[in-house]
Amino acid sequence: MKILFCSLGLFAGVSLLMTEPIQAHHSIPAFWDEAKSIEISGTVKQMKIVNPHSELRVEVTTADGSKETWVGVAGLATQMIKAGWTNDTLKAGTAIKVEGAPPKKIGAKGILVRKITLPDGRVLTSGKID
Amino acid sequence: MRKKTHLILAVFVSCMVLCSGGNVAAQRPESTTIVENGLSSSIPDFSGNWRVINPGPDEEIKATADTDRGFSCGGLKGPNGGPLMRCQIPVDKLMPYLHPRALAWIQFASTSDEALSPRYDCAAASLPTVFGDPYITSFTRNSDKVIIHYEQSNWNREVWMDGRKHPPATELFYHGHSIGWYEGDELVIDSANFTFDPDGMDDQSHLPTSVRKHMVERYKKTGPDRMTLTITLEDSLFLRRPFTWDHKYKRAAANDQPVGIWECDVETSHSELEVMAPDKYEGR
Repeated sequence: MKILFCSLGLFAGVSLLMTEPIQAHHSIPAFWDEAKSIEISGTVKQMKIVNPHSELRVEVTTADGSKETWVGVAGLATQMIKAGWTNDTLKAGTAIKVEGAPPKKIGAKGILVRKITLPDGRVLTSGKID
Repeated sequence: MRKKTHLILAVFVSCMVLCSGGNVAAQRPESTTIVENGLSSSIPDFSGNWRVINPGPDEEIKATADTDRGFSCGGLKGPNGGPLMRCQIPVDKLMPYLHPRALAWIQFASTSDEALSPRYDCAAASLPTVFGDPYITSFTRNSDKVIIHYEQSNWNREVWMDGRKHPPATELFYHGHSIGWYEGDELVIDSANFTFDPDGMDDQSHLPTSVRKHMVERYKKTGPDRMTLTITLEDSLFLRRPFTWDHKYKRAAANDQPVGIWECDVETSHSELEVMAPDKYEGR
């Protein structure tokens, strides 16, 4: 029970702090199609809070049952750490839905992370990434 | 006879200038304050944490990153054809200063230059790129040097204030070699001995600099919590003439401290590149 409350507290803290935009370090229009939005559902393979940009790897099951890994580009690690993120904020195996912008690179399995939804409906926003 | 002597002198002076490698160091004025034993209370103090105020509609900065704003990229496009929106150097104003060699670099290297940027190999941001980065810059000083800590890449830059000169041109460093002095209320830093750097001017527009890069920074307080940095950059390989621009800084809030760690992972950086940028061998 204690662990549950700690986890809920952590998520609540992160969610609250994530209302402040977390930003990366690129000219978005040069690499990402902000006019479009895509959504992927899968399980967390790995969350890395690293510089310059944090990375969320998501394992997605396709319609034919095969697995593919998507690379989510998140915010500046420095700011995410200050906002409360750690590599354990999203544990491997957690089911998530990720919303964001697709890359301009055709066929790339990438997403500029905007919003992460947990199975119970709680939302972690990676915020505006520039 | 006098005419001949003058001619010999002129040739000698020309040779000296040419043999200096083209990096004309800023002249330390005779009135320079060189602090050798302890600190003089009269020298300007830039100690503390600062955040850059990038160009925008106002001079307010957030407690966190301020990446919404930056200098104009002068219409340059990224490798996928989209516009570059924010540069660390005012590229629009820089354009007339660029040597045709630099323009050719932009034209022929732009497809693959994102993938070739040293930052994806976890190199610390170049000087002057780091001046406009949305991270904290901290100054401390002691009797023989000013130490500038950049939260970006969590590294310390040593600026030697003890009167030494730059090392010979055989010694090159990614961030160059920096010496400094005070001129009135300004901290002046002269940097040379840089290696070639594909992001040497800016890691957004990927404008390069060569070993002929020479940079002078002038820091000046404009208020208790405000500071202006004026940068003059010269590099006769890529610039027609020296280019000067400014950055404004504001003292960081008391609760806005450097995070103190910088964990860059080359593998992760490269996987990011794979989904967003052309391959390093494309466009050749």
